[in-house]
Amino acid sequence: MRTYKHAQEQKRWGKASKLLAGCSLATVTVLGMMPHAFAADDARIRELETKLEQSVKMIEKLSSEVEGLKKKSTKGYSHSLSEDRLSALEEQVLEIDDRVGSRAVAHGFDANAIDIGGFLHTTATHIDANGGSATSFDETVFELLLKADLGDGWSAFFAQAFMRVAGTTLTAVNGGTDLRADFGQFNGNGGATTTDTPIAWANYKHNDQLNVRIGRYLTPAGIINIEHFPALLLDPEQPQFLRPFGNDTLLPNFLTGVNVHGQKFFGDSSVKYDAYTGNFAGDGEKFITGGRLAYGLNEHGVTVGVNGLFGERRKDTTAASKTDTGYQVYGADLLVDRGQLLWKNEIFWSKEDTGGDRMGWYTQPAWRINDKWTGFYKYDVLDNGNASDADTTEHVVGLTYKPTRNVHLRGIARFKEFEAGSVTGLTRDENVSIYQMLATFNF
Amino acid sequence: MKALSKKLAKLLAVGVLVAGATVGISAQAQAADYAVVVNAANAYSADEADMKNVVKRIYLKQQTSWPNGTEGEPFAREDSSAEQTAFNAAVLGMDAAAHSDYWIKLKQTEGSVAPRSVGASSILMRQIARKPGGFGVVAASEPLVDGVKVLFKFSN
Repeated sequence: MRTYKHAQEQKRWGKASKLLAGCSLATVTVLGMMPHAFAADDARIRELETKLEQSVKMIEKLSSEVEGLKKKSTKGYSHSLSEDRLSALEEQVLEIDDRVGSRAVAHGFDANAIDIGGFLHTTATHIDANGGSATSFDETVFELLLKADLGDGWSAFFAQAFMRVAGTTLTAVNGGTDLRADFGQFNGNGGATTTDTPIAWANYKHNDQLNVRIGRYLTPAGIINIEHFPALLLDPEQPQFLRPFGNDTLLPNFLTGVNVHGQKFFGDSSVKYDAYTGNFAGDGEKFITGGRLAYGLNEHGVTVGVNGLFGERRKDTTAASKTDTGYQVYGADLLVDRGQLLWKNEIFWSKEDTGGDRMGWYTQPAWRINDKWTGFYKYDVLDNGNASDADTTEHVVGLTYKPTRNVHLRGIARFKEFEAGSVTGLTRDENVSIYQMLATFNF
Repeated sequence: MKALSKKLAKLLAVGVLVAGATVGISAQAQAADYAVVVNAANAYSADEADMKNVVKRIYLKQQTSWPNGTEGEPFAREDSSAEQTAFNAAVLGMDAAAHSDYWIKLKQTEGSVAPRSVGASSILMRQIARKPGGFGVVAASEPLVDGVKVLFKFSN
């Protein structure tokens, strides 16, 4: 392009110069012929005068064109050459300025890279109970996530939560025939915000098949405990066997210890494993050891997992001597994520050395109506091993809406069935309905 | 009358030929709308299904390296671009919502983020040319820069 333009310019220059020379010669010739013209008639003289006038005009015109070309060659020519490149660079500068502007650019001390994210989750709840209802903006959680790349396969990940949660209590009233709902103080602590560090681990990646994770991590069991975060869940209220949160109704939500994990692909299928040991937050002395093996048929969107763990529950510090609180948990899970269907299923049961054996399971089919709306239903059962052998059952119906990828809004109705004895003092089966509006904003 | 029939038949034949050629050309164009490009030094090769699987896993950060041991360095395109939309559908098997959900999940549970997105194809290819395990998607009609080659082509 550049060469072509240049050649064109040169050609025009050459033409102009030739014309100028031609006209100059013509002028000189005409002037030279002037003395002989005296002998000619008036008409011839007028003709010559006209020709002379035309020649002068031509010379002026050509001079002006030559000046114009000179100016163009010094200014316009170079400008046209770099115009495209300049506008491309300008676009890039504008984009960078749009992102950074006058703000400081963060540095990650000695980390190769740092990513910061988090979410805000808030809930409004109405509990409809025969012995007395209750309503509250009962939960606000802000959680910061931070990942640092330490280089050579090492990384670290932290989640720091700041929570304001009004605990719910259900009490048997009216002679044990009804249940009354109450929201307590936020965090049961005079309204103070509580904090927790649910995740704080460092990970060494030897290769895809061998990773070692050290620190506090989500117990890698089942489906929902691994997904854990409200932004990811259709129903942020985890299954009953994982409640109360941070506890170990059936298995602990978190452990502090070591987790070895990895995955291997075979054609279109994959095998993922986790082996772990650590301490449960409720008792720093008791160890929990377990593993999970998952097989994924990726083309079909199906993942099957088997889980097992054993250890000891918290000790009774009031007992005269240390008691045996050993238990083993077995579990299986099935995830179908295919097209518009998202179907999660988990079952876990325990063998307890002390107290009754426990069992919890749920099935949660969901249908993605479109890329913004999803409807789901969950059937969730827990036998917490108490003496009355009573179950609590939940039917949950929900509709979730994502106006943008970082905003997750939900409306959920939860119908809980309590068997007599499942709440202290409850003498007959009783139902409670819970209606929630929930919003999660993640970044 | 006979002459007219002959003319009509000729016209019909020409029309069919032209239509056939047009359909053929457009089908050919459709069959190679987009290309996954890699660093020219990347010697990985397999059948197309395997290559798609490997590209998918590296892009989704489920797999770290190419089968030949080179560390994978995926690049994305802008979310709303035709290239990314086609890549999501034809290689990842995801729509935009599923793609977004996947990265939210990985961000929240592992702290991993989606590959860096690059707007201009020319800049993308220059980046890939500098990184041995680099790869990304471009329109198949894009002229390749030095140091980059096509791993496979696909249509949406």
